[in-house]
Amino acid sequence: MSAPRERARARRFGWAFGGGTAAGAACFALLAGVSPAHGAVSDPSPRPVPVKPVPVDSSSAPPGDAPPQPDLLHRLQEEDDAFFPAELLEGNPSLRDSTLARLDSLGYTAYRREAGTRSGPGALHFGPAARIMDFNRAEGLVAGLGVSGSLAGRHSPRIHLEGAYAGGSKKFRHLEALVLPLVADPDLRLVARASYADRVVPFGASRPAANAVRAFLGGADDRDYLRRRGGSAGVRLEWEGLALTLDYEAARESAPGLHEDFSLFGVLDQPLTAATGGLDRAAVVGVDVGRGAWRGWARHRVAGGALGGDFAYNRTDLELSGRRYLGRQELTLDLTAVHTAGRPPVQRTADLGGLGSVRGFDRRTRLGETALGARFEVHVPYDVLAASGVPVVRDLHLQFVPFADGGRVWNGASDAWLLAPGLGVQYYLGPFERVSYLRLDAAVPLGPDRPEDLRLYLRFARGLF
Amino acid sequence: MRNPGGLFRGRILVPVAMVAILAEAVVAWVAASPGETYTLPRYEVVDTTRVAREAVTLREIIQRCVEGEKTKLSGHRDMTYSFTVRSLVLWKKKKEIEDDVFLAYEDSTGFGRTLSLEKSVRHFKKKGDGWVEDAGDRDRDSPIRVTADDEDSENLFTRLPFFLEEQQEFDFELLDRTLEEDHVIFKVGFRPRSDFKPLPSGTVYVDADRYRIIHEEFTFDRNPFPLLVKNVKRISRHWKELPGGEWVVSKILMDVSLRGGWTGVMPEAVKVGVFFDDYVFDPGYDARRFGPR
Repeated sequence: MSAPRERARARRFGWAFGGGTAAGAACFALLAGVSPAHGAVSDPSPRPVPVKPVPVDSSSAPPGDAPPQPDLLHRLQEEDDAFFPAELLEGNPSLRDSTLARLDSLGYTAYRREAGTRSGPGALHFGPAARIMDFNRAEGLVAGLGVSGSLAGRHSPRIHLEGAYAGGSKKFRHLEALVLPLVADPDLRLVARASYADRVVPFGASRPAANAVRAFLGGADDRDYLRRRGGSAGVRLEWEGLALTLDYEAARESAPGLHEDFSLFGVLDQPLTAATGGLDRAAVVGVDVGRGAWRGWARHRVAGGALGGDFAYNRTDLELSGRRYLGRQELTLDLTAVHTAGRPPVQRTADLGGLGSVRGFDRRTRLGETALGARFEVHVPYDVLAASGVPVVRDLHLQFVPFADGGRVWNGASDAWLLAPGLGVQYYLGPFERVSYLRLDAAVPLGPDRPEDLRLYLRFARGLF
Repeated sequence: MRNPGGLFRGRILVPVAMVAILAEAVVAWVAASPGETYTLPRYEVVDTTRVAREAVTLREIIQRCVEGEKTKLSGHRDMTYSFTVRSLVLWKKKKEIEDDVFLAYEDSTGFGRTLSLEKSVRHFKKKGDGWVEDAGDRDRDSPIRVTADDEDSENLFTRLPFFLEEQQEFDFELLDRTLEEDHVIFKVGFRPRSDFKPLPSGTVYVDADRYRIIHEEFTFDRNPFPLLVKNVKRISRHWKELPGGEWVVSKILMDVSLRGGWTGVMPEAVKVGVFFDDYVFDPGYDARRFGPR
């Protein structure tokens, strides 16, 4: 807002910023401890001192007897109210009063009974099977219904059930979860939890945010998926931005063995190893940490041995992701590290490559014992196209995101580094979590092992924070 | 006579002084009479007094705001309040006015329960230049309902305004200072650092007495829902001070224009007012009103 307009607004509000008297400005400075120019305060204002009474004619206006002005708060609110229609501002106090009076006379239980409602604490809530709904290249469309139920209060157990039909495999998929709060203080939360599921899930380092879109566009095939049938039980402790988990998992894992051909760009022709079948029994210890714009988690998985099962291995996962502003530039960094020991199945092997890992390279292009990956992005904050002034183009509001991915696998077929700089262009769709942006990434893989010189990805990207 | 002067002074000055005091009292009494001449202290400027102290930086103002916001309900364990939401949905040839009544309980541990108690919807059709209520539709969309939401993320005791929670996302600017009675009011503006972050810009007014935010106005330079929303014209949050010294939200107002209004199927605009009332502090959790905890 320009200075004259600001001053006009100030006058309308009855203020005297900037254009006021020196004495007034000095009073601000003295009381606020600031000078108008943010400098050290020096107060040149005169200090009134009584000296000698002088006669004053009674017809003179006594000081301080001006008509009272509404205070700032009221003036601001009145100006705000003037923007909205009267029928909005009048509200409905009679409905509020009668409703509250009825609640007070009946009490909560009788009010609910009179209302004939079945919702509220202790009720069931129905919705789509959000956790297992998917479109994948092994089973096609998986869709169904879910229901959540709990008793009133934060200490009550909560149960969640989902069932869905997989159109490709013509199988029924389901998920059941139970959460039992043991301690539910504001600073400390401890829950016991158990779940069982029969579903197909993606595996490997490359797991884009919206897997269904990847499958639809042809960025996946059945060897990216794993059928998992089994359950887990454990506890989770949350305290001061820190969460500790301890779980026992037992599941029979296998390659789906099916293939849904439908995809926009056909079937990928990349030689990948399918998941190894067998019974996986493991203990998993985890730590989640969140501080401001930084998030990190670690998991250590021990399978086999005394726990039984068909696989005997250890796997440690570390992940750190964060955002930071450098001036107006928003920088994001994702670091992943995986180390395995023993004889892990294919689905637990450390790997690199793919849209969710090192862009520009094939999925699981590197398999090994240890893997380290990094993804760095710069979100250019300036609307360059809008500044161009070119019709249509200026209204596209496309954001440029230069990026660089890199990583390396140890004790695999190759120890060479994978590097791929690139440029992304994204369009904001809405605050839809994992699909907030529609993004086109152009990655330029480097090195002798690069599959091609340029690889394009169309995908959804996460926003806002 | 050793001290004739002193004797003289004692004999003469004392009566003279008494007469003078009496005369002054008479003059003062006369001066106090209405319509007569009276005296007032006259003020005169003397030497300038120069003072200096450390300037309060914008960063300090923001940090003090974070602390000040936490004092708005200080001294209380819990509270109840009611709020009514009036939504005005405008189509090309019809409009809908919906009122929802809520009752809320919140405590300083972060626990909260909100009851959705009642809903009333009225439909209007455009006739000429005016609106005519469609009485037949009135009860169709007015189911009585009681639902409860135990989410504590919006607790007034524990939450901070978003621009204080996510300070790294915004650039702040001290727009003005003013003296309102004996309080200094800071006018602070903020805007997203990125041209592409669909976050609001805003202006907030901070009372430097305890660094509490007393008024908030928001706009969106970047459309938050480009697929659905044409623009967000205005959002504001009004605060008020209660007789007990608590600062509470009194009103939230919002005006949004939507896309697709030209079809007549989609609304052209939605205006929402949320009105908060009946604040009661430290009543404890009343299971009779709110159900079992």
